[in-house]
Amino acid sequence: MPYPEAEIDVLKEQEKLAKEQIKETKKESTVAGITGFAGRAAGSSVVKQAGKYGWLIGLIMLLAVILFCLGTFVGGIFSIIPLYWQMILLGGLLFIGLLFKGKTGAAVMVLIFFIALGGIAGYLQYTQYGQSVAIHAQVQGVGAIQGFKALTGPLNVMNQIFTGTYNPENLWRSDTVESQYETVTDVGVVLDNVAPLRDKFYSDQPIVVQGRIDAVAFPGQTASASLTAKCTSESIVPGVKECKNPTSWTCQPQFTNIKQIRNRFFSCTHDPIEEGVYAVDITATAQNTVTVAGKQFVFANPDVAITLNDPLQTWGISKDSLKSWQKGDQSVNLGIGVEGVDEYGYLEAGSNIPYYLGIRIENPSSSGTVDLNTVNLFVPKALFSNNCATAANSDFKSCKDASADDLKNFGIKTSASLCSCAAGFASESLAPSDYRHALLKLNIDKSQLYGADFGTFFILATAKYNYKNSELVAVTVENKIGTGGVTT
Amino acid sequence: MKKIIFLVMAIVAVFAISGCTKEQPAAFAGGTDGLVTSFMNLPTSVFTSSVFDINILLQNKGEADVSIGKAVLTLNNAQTLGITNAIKTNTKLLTRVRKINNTAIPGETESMAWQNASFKGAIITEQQTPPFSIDACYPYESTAIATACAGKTNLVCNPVEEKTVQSSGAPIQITKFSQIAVPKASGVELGFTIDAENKGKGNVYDSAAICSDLKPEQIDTVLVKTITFNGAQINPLTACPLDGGRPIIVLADKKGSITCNFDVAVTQDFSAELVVKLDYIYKDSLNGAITVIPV
Repeated sequence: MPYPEAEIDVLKEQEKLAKEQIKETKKESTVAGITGFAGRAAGSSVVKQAGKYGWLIGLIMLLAVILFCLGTFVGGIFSIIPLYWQMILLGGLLFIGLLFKGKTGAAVMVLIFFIALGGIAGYLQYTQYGQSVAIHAQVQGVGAIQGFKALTGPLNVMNQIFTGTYNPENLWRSDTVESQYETVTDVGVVLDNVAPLRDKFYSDQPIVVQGRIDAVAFPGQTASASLTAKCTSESIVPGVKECKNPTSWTCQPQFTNIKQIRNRFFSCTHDPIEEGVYAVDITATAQNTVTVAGKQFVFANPDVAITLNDPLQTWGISKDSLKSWQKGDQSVNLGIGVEGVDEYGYLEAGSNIPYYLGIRIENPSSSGTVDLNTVNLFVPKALFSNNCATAANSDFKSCKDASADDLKNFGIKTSASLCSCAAGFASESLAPSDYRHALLKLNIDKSQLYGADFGTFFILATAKYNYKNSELVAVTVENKIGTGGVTT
Repeated sequence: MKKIIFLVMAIVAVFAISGCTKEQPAAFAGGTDGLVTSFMNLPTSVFTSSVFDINILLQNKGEADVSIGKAVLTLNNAQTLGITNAIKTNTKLLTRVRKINNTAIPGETESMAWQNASFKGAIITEQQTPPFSIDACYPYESTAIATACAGKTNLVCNPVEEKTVQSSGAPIQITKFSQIAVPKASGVELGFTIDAENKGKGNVYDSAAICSDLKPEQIDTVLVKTITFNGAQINPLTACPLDGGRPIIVLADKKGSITCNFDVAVTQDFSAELVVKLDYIYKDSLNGAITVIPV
C-alpha cells in the first residue's frame, strides 16, 4: 500500500535528520578518538593509530637488536682475534664492498692499505723491537695522563660552576710582593727532573726513580719536605700494571728543619717487579709551609668623599698601595677584600650597613693538594671596640688578642694592637682550583677618623698548610731474554 | 711758524688726554691663594721604630684676615702615624697680605707640629708609604671692586657695559663685572652681574658650614656678604636673588654668577666705586709622603 505523500515527506525528512545525526556522531567520535575519551568509534581510532606506530616502534627495536647483536658479534670477534687480523678483515670487507660497486682500483688500494696496517700491528705485537716501540708508546700514555692533570684545575672550576658552589663575588687574589729587603724567595717545595733511572728495567733489577728538589722555608722559620713514592692503580692511569705493594718504596733523603735547599738530588727505590708498564707517583710534601697576605684599606667620611671627583687622588693615595699582596709560599693564593667594595674603593665610616671583610684561599695549581692547618686573619683591635671577642662569628669561630709571637712568627712588624681570628675552615683540604672563603662583619665607626676625612688600616692573613706536589713517571719493566723474571 | 705752534699744541693735547685716561692703579696684591700650608723638614723615610715630628707652616697669602682659632688643620690618617689629636687650630691672628705703595707686605705665618709620630701600621718586608695629608679649613673673604656707572645717558659713562673688575687675593676670584643702569623717575635702577670662580686647588663651602662637619650640600656655595656703592651700604638680601633666604652664588664646575640690582638716586650721571664682598669657607689639602723602611 503506497504511503501517502505527506508520510513520504515525513519519512524523507526523518531520513535526512538521521543521516545528519550519523554524520554528527562520526565527527564526535573522531574528536573523542583524538582526545582519548571512551566510545566505540573513538576506541577503534586509537587502535588504528597505535597499530600504525607500533609497527614503527617494532621496526626500530628490531633494528636496535640486530645492530646490538652485530656489534657484540663484531666486538667479540675483534676482541679475540689479533690486531693485524682485524686490519686485514676490515680491509677485506671494504675490498669486497668496493668490488661490488665496480670500483676495482679503489678496492685494491684499500686492501693494500689495510694489509699494511695489519703488518704494522703484527710487527708491534710479535717482534721484539716492535714490542719495545709499543711499550714506549704506553709510557708516553702515562705522560699524557700527567699532562691531562693540567686540566684538573679548570675541570674543578667547571664542576664548581655547574654545582653552584662557584662564587665570582669572592675572587679576591693577591699579587706576589717582590721585596728589596728580602733575599729568600721561592718558599715551598718544587720537584724537578723526576725520571726513572733507566729507560726500562729488567724484572730482576730494583726500580729507581730520581730527581731534584728545591725546598725553601718561610723567612725566619724552618721547614720539612718529605718525599714519598707509590705505584698508581689502573683506575688512575689506564693500561698500567698495579704493584702488589704499591707503597713499598723508599725515598732518600728526607729533609727536616731546613731553611733552604736547592737543586738537591733524591732517589726513590722499589724491589724488582714483574714485567709491565707502571705509573709511579712521586710526592714531595712541604710541611707547615706558610703564606702571608696583606691589604691596606681606606675608610673615609662619606660626606666629604662624595664631593670629590677622585677621592684617592685627592688624598694622595696610589691604587698600587691598595692592592692585596702576598709573600711566602706561592702554592696558594690568599686574597683579602671587602664584599661589594672595589679593590681600589674606600669604606664609608659611620655607615649603618656593615661591611663584610673576607679572605679567600685558593689552590691555583693543576695537580698539587693543600691540606690546611691554620688560617688566621689579623685585624686592628680598634675596629672592634678594643674587644677581639666581639669579632668572632660563624666563619671565624674564635678571635683573640694577637700575641707578639703570633706576629713575629710570620715576620710581621707592628706596634698596633691586632686581633687574631681563626678561620673555621682550617684543617680542610683544597683540591686543584678549590677554594674556601670566610667573612668577618665590620663596622667602622666615625670616631676612627679622629675628625679627619680619611684613615687607613691594614689587614693581614696567614695560612699554614701542607702542600703535596706530585709528579707521575712511567716505569717500564721487561723480562730478560731467557729468563722468567720474578713474581711479586 | 703757525704750523709748528699747532703741532706743539697737538702734542701737548695728546699727552694731556693720555694723562686723563691713565689706568686706575691696582687696588689689590692679587693672587689665588688663601691660607697656604707647607711641610717643614718632613723626613722622606723613617724606620719602623722611628719617632718623628710633622711640622707645618701656615701662611696667609691672601687678602683676608683669619681670626684666632678659625683655621682648622686636620691630620688625615693620624692613627696610622700614632697621633691621637689630629686637629689643630691657629693660635695667632693670621693677618692678610697688604699692599702699600705697590709693595706687598706678606701675611702672617704660624708653625704647627704634630710631635712624636711613629708608624703604627703593619709591615712585613716591603717598605711602605702610608698616605697622610693635612687639611686646612678656614673662613675667607674675596673682595671685588669695579667702577659702576649710575647714568641715565652715556654722556658721562656707559650705563650698559662690562666694566673692569679687580679681585682681592683669594681662592675665589670675581672674574667679570657687567652692569646695566635703567632710568627711573628718581634716578636709575642699577643692575650688575658678577662672575665668581674657584681658582684655588681646594673646595669652597657655604660660609655657614662648620669645618669639623662639612656637609655635601654646602659645597660650591659662596655668600654675597656686602655690597657698597659710592660709599653707601646696599643690602644684599633685598638687592640679590635669594636661595634658601640667603644671597648666594652656587658654583658649577667651579664657576657661578649672580645678578643684583638696586635703585640709585641720580640728579646728574656719575661713576662710583662698587665693592662686593664674598664670604665662604675654604678647604685645601696638602699631601705628604714618608716611606717606612722595615728595619
